Amino acid sequence: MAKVQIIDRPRRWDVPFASRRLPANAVAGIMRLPAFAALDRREFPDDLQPQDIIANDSRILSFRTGDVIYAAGAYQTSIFIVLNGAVRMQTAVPAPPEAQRTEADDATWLRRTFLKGRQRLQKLEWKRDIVPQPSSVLAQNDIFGETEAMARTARQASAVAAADRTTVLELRWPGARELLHWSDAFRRRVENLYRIRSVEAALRQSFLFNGMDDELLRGIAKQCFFETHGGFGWTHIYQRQRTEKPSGDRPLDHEPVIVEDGQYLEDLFLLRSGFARLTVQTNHTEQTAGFLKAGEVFGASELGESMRTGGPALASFGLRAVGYADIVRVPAHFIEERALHAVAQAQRTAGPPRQRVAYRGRSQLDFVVDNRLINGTKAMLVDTTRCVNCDDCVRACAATHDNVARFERQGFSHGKFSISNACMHCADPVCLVDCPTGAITRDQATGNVLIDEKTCIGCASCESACPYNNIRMIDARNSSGQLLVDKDGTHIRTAAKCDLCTGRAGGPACVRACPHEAITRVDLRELQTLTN
Amino acid sequence: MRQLTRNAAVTIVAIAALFWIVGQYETALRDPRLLDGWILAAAMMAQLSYHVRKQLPALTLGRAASWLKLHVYAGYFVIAAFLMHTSFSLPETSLEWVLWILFMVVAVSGIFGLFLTRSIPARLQHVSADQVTFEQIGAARARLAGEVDGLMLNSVKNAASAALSDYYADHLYGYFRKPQHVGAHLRGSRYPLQAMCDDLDRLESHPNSKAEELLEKLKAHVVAKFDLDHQYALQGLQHAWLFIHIPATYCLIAMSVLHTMVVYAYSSGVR
Amino acid sequence: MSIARYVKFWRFAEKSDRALRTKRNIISAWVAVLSAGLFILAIAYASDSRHFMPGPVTTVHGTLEQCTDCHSNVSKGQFGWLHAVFAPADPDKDTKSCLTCHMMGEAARNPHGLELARLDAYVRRAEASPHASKRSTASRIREATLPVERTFPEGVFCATCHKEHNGQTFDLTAMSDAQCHTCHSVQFDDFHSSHPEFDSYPFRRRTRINFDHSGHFKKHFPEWRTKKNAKEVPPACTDCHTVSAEGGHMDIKPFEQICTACHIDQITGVERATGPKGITLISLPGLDLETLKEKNVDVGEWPEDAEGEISPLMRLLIGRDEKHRNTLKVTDELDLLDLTEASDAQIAEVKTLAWEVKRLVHTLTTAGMTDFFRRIKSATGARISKDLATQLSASMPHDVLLAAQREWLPNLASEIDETPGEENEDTSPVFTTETVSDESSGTDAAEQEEEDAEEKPKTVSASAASAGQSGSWRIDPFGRLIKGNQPPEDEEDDEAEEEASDQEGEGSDDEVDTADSDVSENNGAEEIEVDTEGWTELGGWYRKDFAILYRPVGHADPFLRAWLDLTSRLFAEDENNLARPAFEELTHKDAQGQCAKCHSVDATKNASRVVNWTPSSLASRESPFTLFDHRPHFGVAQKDGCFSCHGMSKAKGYLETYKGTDPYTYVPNFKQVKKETCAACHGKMQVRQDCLLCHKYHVNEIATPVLTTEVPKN
Repeated sequence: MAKVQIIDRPRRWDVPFASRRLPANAVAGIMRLPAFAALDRREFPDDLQPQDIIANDSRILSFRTGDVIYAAGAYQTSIFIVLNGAVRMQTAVPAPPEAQRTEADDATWLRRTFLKGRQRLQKLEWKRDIVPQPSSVLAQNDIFGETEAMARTARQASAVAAADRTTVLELRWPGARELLHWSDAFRRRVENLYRIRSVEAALRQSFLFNGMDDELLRGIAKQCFFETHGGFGWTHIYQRQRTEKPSGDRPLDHEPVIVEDGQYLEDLFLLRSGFARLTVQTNHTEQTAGFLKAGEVFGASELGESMRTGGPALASFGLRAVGYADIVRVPAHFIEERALHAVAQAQRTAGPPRQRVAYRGRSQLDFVVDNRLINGTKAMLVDTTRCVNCDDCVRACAATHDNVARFERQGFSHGKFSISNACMHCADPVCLVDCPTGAITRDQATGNVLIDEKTCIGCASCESACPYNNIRMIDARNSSGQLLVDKDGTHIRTAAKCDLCTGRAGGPACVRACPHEAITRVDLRELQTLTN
Repeated sequence: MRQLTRNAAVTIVAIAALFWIVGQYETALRDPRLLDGWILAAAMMAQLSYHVRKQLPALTLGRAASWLKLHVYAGYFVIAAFLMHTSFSLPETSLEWVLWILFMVVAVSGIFGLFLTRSIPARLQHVSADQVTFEQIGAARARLAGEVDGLMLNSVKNAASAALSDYYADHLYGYFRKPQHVGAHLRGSRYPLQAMCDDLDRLESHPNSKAEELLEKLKAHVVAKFDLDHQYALQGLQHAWLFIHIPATYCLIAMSVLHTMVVYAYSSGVR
Repeated sequence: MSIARYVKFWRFAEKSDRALRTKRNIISAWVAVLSAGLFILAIAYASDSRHFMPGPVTTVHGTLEQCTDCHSNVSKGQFGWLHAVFAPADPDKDTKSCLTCHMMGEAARNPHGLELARLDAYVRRAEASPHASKRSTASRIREATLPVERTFPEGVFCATCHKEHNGQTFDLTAMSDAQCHTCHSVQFDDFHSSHPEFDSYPFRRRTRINFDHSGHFKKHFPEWRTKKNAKEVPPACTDCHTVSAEGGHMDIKPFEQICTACHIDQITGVERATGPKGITLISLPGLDLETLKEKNVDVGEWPEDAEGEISPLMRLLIGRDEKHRNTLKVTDELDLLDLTEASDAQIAEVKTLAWEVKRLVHTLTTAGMTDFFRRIKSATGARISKDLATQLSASMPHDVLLAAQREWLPNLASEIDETPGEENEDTSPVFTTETVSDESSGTDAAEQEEEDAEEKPKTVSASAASAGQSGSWRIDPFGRLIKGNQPPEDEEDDEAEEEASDQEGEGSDDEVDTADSDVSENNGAEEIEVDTEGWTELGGWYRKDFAILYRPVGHADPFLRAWLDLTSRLFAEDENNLARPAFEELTHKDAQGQCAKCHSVDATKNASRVVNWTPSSLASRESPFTLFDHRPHFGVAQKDGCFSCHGMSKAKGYLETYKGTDPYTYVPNFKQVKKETCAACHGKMQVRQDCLLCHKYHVNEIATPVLTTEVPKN
């Protein structure tokens, strides 16, 4: 048998989103929609015209009343436009914090974490207690789904068809990205929507405004501020930091300040997406005290305290944006008027913010935050006091993935632990952003970031995007093991990374194969401490 | 801790049950060596199945950690079964010695290996947090040696004294070329490093700034090489013990099969 | 400076560590193959297959050089064992190898080496005796999972219990109590707590020597002490008893050491108040000569003063065929001294009897001892060896007979010549060379030799295989009548020979005496009145009135002994049995010699009799399974000494039981030993109480064959 198989090099337009490209008249009709009316073809490169984008990267779906277009909690990065009929957005609101405590909250001991890691992985994602909320109905030409597409989070609300013969246009992220990238008008419109809706969603999500009247909520939302600190290009800054490592400077010093420690607080901060670092001023230096992840609140206890006592609200921590952070600022007087009881309750039950009971030792915290590892929901945590370098994990990964291992057993080390170069399936997966074909997506159910090898064209955007070097380009082979080459004999490359053995029974092969239980896949946002 | 207690208790109960059952067999005027021989054989097959499972990581046959635990506790059971089978006495003839020695090699190397897996990772940790993959050590060593060579070549032009160059040529050249002081690393001793650094310090008693800089760089490289050797020695041991344990196992299995044949050939038929 | 800097490239896309693992697998495969190969080479070049041994054999088997000497399944040669791997092993073959040297008879594969019928009897007895059978849980589990029937369907093999190859000094006979219990239906935990109670141990039958300990202690010894010689009363048990060689029995010292001081006079007749002190061998019966004369019955000369009767011993000499037995039978009913009312037929028989007696005397005086024994042979069918004959005749001097004949029937010779005789036509040999076979009908010679046929285990000695006829009578070196090749018993009896040689002297004295009296009669010299009986105070032949008698010479008189042995074997319940009256005369309460006073008489299985000369013999030990050694117990006996374990029994009736002939009707002098006596130490203190201390498994002897060495031919 020959060692190589000659095939055509995969290209951007090879795999349309629908079963085939949309026909030209449908595309023409879509282009006339208000959403796309502002698209100026001249803004687009010749080989990337909007009609081609739409033809290739969108599809039209039909629904009847009650059909679920997408469910809350699913990981999707498509933008939808209502063509016909109506769509109801049904919000799923998480219950107050105390009802939401997961096992992760109790996992102060890494050993327990190891043992229950598998169960934990399954439990973490879907533990959302639904509290019924009033819904909104979208009509023809409304855009929906853009919030999660741009923030790369799970769907905050379910989209349910509200009329018979509801048709929607689903534009997948690669296409949406191109449109957003090249068309200013389109971008402005979508970003506007994103802001408004983010604020509303943030308020709805927060336990503080649980049960609030929808009308009222929207009113408050109009008064809130949506801020972005840091930038989406944070990964590049981060990578630069890593390679250069100038002495004396800490990553912390370069992070944009949102709130100073001890600052007078006038607003409540809801972290919409991204991460924020909590800091304290000690001995004339600023030290890390913890971090906030998306969905969490800053300043609730301080404001509550000040409401009770009448004194001023002073921030007990500083707040800096790690990478980037989308903040929704809610003016304090709204809190006073509407959410007093909730705040008081929060103060009583939650106590100090969880993250304050921090990782053991500042150094561990710094390590995790500085390296942006808190992004990882499935980071491969290796206990190096148990690892005997037998490489059984690598062997197992190779055995389950065409004899090519998908990770490297080295990575960020700190003390007794090391986070390997295995895809962490980030909370905010920046690798998704630039994929032209949408080969790299999040699995709808689990949120794992997966690469579809058939669709991948080997452009290596994801590889360069990943701040942690967890994606590598490998030679593509067919199922018989033959190297795939194009007509010129150049190896066809494809992106490869850890896929958490999604679809295989038993969970990640590396975890199963380690004889000394040294590996576990952990959500670094949830871990209290990296103890042993 | 609870798991450990439970597993140890199960093993102890299993061993006690083995002793009791073989005792009852002997009381019933059967041949107890036949029974505990086959129990030993079955237990050895169970131990071997761990080796087989490790060769098939793609099959979801259970977690490797569980298998290893079973292998270790079953190993204690196998040792007890072996002692029972040999009537707790030393062998007296040549074939028996062969079997006994092979078994002891396997069992002792296994226990030693267990000890290594619990002790070496911590020791590797202690020295440097950056671990190198075993296969990469050779290349890292080569790179380090190349750097030092470059350093010294340059230094000849600049600041190095003859003494330092001679010292490098006599001692350090070989030092950077191959793994050194493996014994000291296994023992956990930093003495050789200490000695070399003292030597270097003594060489340049009144250094100028350039010489001092060179000396510091050289010392840093020496330390790095020492750390690399540490990795090499300990990781090497982590791999090497299995080169005793597994070939000896294969040998033991082969000889055990022959032993079983001999037993049945010379058996009088009394069960 | 961190070494991370030097780790620039990574082999993410390559399989890590494959080279090492592959190397390891290759090494492993090679090692396995090489070791197997070396093994095969080692076998091929070894001189023998001894290196297969799991351990050395015990020192006693150390001279066996070839594995095939015991392992019957393998063949010789380095690879002779290969086919045996798959060939089914028959444990019986290896057992046969063991039995070549350790001969255990036919029942070797049975448990305990006993015939199954006997084993069955023992089992039933054990189950019937009072016991508390405690089967432990472990025992129940064993019984359910490893039943004995499956382990030993064809029998117990040597290798079942005896495992060789465990070292030179390994104890092959070691067994745990639990292992012993595996087969037994009556199980228990240990001796002390739950061993069954002893069932009539150690006395199962009356003692062979009738000795009433209580009577002696209470009556005779005190009498002797006060009235006679206190020094002759034994003060301690050990004055009469001594430990046997194997320690289990307390043997009795010879009569001559312990009993003779008080009892010798009873035997020799010194103390005898009434009746003759000797046993009548030949006597002329008294006849009613007047009546016979009236009826014209010619009996020739007959002393008128004869008043005696035919002695029982004479009957054996007379009743040599059917006709004469009939004569005896008829004349028994008559009073020979008063034949006035006898019928003619009866008188004819009397005549026959008279002539028969005369003929007897005549042939005895003329034909010699051979005729004597021919008559006995004709009467009983027993062929006797010359040794036995010597004892039966006690070297009777010819002159005694001659003098008697001259005195009683002076013209006997001429009378016999004139009378048509009925000579013995039997010319077949009377004596055998060494042994005598019993050609008679009716009695089973093989049965007669055993004292207790049921209880005594058969001994299979090496020379049994080469023994000649098993039913032969002979005198053993110690002068005892034994049948076949019974091992000699303990007692030595040298004195019998001394006594026998003394007979010569006495006989000759008698002869002289007779001759003197004869001369005096003929020459008209003075008659000397001698009390011949008193004269023969040291025992021997004497003539008194019209009888020739024999007075016992002392204890273990060979004449009495031989006649008792002969007549006891020939005894039958049938009233016509000729030996019966003789036997009864010799064992009568007032019999001369008083043999039966102390030597009990048992009935045998076929209703003959046996006189117990010795207390017991090795062969007649009652408990084949039990071992007991007195000696270790001497050191721990309390102040009561022997009575610590053997207390005197207060039961009465000891002597009465000797009136019958059933040895199992008995009243022992001593209390039976109870388990609690033994358990006082065995079990409570740190004293062994394991099964093998007191019990043995191989009940029968295990014999090693004596070498068959041929006498050199050159």
